[in-house]
Amino acid sequence: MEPNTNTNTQLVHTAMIEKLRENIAKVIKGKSNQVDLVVTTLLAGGHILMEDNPGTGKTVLAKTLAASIGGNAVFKRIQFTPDLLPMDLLGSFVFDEKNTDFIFKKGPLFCNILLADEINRASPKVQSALLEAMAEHQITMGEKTYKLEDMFFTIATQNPIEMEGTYPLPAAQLDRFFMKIYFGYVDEQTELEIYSNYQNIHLQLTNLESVISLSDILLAQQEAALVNVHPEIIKGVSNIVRATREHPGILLGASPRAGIIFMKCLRAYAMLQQRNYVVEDDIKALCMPVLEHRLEYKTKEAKETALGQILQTELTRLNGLKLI
Amino acid sequence: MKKIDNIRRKHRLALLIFVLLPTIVVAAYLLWQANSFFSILRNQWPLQLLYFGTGLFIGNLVYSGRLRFVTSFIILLLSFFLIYRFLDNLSLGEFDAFFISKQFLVFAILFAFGVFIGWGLLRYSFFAIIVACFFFLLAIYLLSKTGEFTIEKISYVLLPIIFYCVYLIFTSNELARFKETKQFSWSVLNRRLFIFLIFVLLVGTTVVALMKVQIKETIERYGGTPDDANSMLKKNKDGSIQNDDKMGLTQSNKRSNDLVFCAYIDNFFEGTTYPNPLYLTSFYFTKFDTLTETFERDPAMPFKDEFTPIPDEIPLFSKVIDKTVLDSAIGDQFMHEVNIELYKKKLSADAFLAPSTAYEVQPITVEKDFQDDYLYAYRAKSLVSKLNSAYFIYNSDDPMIATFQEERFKQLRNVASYDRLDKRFFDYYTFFPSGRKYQNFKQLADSLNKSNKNTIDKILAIRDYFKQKNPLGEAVYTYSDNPGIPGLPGASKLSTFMFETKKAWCTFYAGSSLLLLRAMKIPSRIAVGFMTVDRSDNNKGWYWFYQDQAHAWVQVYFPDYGWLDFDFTTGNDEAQQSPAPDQTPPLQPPKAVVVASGTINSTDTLKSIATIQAEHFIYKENEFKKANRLVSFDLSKSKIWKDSVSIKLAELQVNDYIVGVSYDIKLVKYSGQHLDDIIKNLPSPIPVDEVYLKTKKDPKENIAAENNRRIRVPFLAQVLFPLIMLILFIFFLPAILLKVYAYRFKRSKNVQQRAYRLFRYTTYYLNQLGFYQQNATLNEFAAQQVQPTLDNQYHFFTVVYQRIKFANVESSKNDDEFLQHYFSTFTQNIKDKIKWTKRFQHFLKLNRTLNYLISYQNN
Repeated sequence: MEPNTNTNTQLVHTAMIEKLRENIAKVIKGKSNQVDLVVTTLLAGGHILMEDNPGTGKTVLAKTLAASIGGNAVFKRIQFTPDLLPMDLLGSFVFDEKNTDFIFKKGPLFCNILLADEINRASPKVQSALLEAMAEHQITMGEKTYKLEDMFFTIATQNPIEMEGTYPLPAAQLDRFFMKIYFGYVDEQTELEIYSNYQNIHLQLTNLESVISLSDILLAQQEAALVNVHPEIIKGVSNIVRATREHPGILLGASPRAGIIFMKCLRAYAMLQQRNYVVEDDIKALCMPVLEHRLEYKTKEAKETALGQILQTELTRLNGLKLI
Repeated sequence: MKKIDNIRRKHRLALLIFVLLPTIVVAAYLLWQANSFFSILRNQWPLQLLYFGTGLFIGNLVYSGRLRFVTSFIILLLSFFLIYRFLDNLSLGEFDAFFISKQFLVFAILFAFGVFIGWGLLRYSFFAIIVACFFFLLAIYLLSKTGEFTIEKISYVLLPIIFYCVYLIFTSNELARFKETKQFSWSVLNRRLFIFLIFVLLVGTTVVALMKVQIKETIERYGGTPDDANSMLKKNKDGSIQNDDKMGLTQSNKRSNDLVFCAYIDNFFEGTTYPNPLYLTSFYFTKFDTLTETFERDPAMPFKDEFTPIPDEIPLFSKVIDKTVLDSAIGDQFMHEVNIELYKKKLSADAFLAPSTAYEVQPITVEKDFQDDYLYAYRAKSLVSKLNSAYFIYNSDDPMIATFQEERFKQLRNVASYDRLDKRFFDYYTFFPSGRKYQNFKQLADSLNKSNKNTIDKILAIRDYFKQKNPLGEAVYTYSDNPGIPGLPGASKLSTFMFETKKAWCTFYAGSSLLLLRAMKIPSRIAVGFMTVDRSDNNKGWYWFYQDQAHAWVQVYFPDYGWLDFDFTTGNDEAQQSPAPDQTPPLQPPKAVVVASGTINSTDTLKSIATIQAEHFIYKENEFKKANRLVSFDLSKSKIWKDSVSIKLAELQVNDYIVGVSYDIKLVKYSGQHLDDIIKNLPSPIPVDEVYLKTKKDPKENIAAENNRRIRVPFLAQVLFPLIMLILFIFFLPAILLKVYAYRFKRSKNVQQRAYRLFRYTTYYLNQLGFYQQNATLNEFAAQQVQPTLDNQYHFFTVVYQRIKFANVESSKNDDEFLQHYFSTFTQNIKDKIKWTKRFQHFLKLNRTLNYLISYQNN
């Protein structure tokens, strides 16, 4: 007897989201977990920070994502350098000789998907300009305020090596990113597959057809906010967030904003998993990417174990929970 | 780092469970044994075990850190030593303080020893070998103390220790290996322990089965009740007691001061009202078995003058007379008849005690007012030498007794020699065991013999030898319930007592003096019974007998005067000063006029008449055995007794065996010699005052009861059976728990409950089979661990379960059906995939169950 394992009863856009995942998977091999997290952040309406060595596919992922979204999704990429100015990001007033007036020339920020490469190489001024735009969804130039696109999704990357001449993002800034993920290398089997098929994969990228429209993404974002969260799960999130503040190995715990972001991500992730409710697996999957970059640890040892311990305690509680 | 910590913690826990606990059990056993042999320990082994155990745990706890052993241990010893010296100095001359310091010494040694072992077992794996060797040597030492190397002894003392040693070395090796490899496996330890237990059980049962007979005897000798083991007495099934007819020189003699019976002995110094107490004899030990060093009764003793009726089997008021014992007693001078009346309280109904030489017994009733205190009574007659008396080793201050002693010694100095005596009699009662062990008795006897020609002077010499004092004025030979036992195996216990320890209880005194007497060629034997002590001021001739008055002494034969009692046991003051010496003696019952006993033919409860087929009929002094007449009783005024409990008339039934007694003075007037005349003259029905219902023993029941008595392994059964049941229960606990979970699942009321209980059932089952969820979430656990191995679609269940748990939606009937269905699918799948032998093995692993329960206890 087949059980009624169909868990999707109300969500309309899950099919499209599923297609989006499949589409990305055609190009990005062996990274389903990272892809899931990126899409989750997208659905939660946030921004993501990826940290890893060059050449692991961060840019390709961003490009693929942009290409999969139809309806003229604009993809922009900025390579951050120490001499980059906020103007290069936001745009600038240019004198129009015909109208003898300054007109605002929009910078690369006015796009749907922004890949901010090596964000830690830019000066703090630029960084804060970007982060503010990310948070406010708008920029102010002089007296005028310009709204960014409704769907504005930033994928920032950060290079862990070559620390010389970089401006590491402070924890307060990092807090603005919904998630920080590590891209990592693929396993041997996948890597072999990539080498033998790289032309094919490249072809896939160029011929990638869009599977979801911008408006659908926005609808999906609204829908994700409706995913059901059991009070015990909410309590679990709260427990975890609060525990980070009380843990003896942690100097700076997670903020309530972090908790809210956690909740948003949980809903989006559950939707991605084609569920209209959140389970403890979602907490396990999201806890690290969502919380870890917001915490400051006292010792190196605590950095490795503290959050894991907190998470495990809560998972054990949820696992044995008797909900009748 | 964390993992290592975890292993260390587990290691310590395992050490506690698998090494320290068994060590404590074995220590308890050894201490219990040791307490039987060393009087300094004063039989307080549970307390001593506490000392040792505390030391062990403290040692284990304290040295689990980085504390330096040598310095801290030396400080501990030093402080103990100082406290001891302080206590010792404090106690100069004070008895109580002396014992406090001794107690402290025992505590200090055991505690320090415990700390030492606790430390060693924790820090060094090889230490287990040292501990095992030490315990083994201790066991051998204790075994040697018992002086006997029989198989049963070895199996009792040595086998458990051997098992323990093997086990300890094995387990601590295993633990050390875990520590080295930084891995830890409960299951290996569990398996070890399980196999080991089975092995012990097998060997144990084999040994028990092979040596059933010896063990049975041993248990019987100990009376089956170690709490109340008075080796002079044996305890019957109904709680009554009587003299034990086996007198081994067992380890210790425990006594209590309960009143056993009281007696009136009609024996006074001639022409006075001054009572002359006589020892009450039960039977004689005439033979000494050199092999077992046990005194034995000999049914084939020549000139048997033992009168051993069983009062309970004699009809009330019927007299049993055996004059042959008087002929065998060969002695007729200076004799007089002594009547005694004996009222039993705790003494067995079967027991018969009287001054030697008894020849007549008549069971009587107990007067109404005393029936609560005394259950049975009898009168007895003995023919006693006028020279006999309980006064010998102990005396009263009364000058009259001194005169009496002088008188009788004087008279006994003039007795004829043993030359005229029957050769067989003389040889039998002067048998002296040959062998080197007994040579020192011979030498002592010779030295005492030298200056004395007369038998009585020799006896006095032996008495004086026992009463000798050392230069400080202290008695050399003292009384002790805990004699201590020779240090060399096989050495005679008697000679150890006689020449080394010089303290023991009556059996040792009686045995040793018997050996001395026989070495001097004086016919003698040991009598067993009760020591009579005159403590009474008001009721002359009445004596009270307490449990600690059970006694053994020597009887010496004098030509023409017969057997006389001589007690050489010195200094048993405790027995002479038993509590509450002066009680009210029971009144003598009125003289019974008519006594008839037989089975009931018919009863009439309305008129209170019972007709019996009288087998036995007594009218006044005339007794008619095998009467076989119909007699009617008028029971309207009578009290009916059944085993000392008053019952109603309606409870009498046809074929019950009853005895009717009438004290009615009016009936005395009738006369007649012939039975028929008497019955005819007596009114019918005869008014009866008391009726005793005798539960006539069915022969089959009798045999069964006899068998029961013989099997009697209560101690082993009481300890072993619950232990085995407990072990079985513990090993089946995981399986029982599974059934509980399944039952709870089936009894659940709604879908939510059902889902949760199925979740518990499945996770428990999987956990027991070795699928640990650990840190995985339920879905991960299902997909990554369970599904690849069992292929039972467990993740289907977990998805449904999670939805029911978290989705906040009404669950459908569909879900309910799925849960019902999945329960059977799941169970069946496991049965198919895992063989039952494997499953059985899994379900023996108690630690998995514990882990599971603990991990869910956290919530």
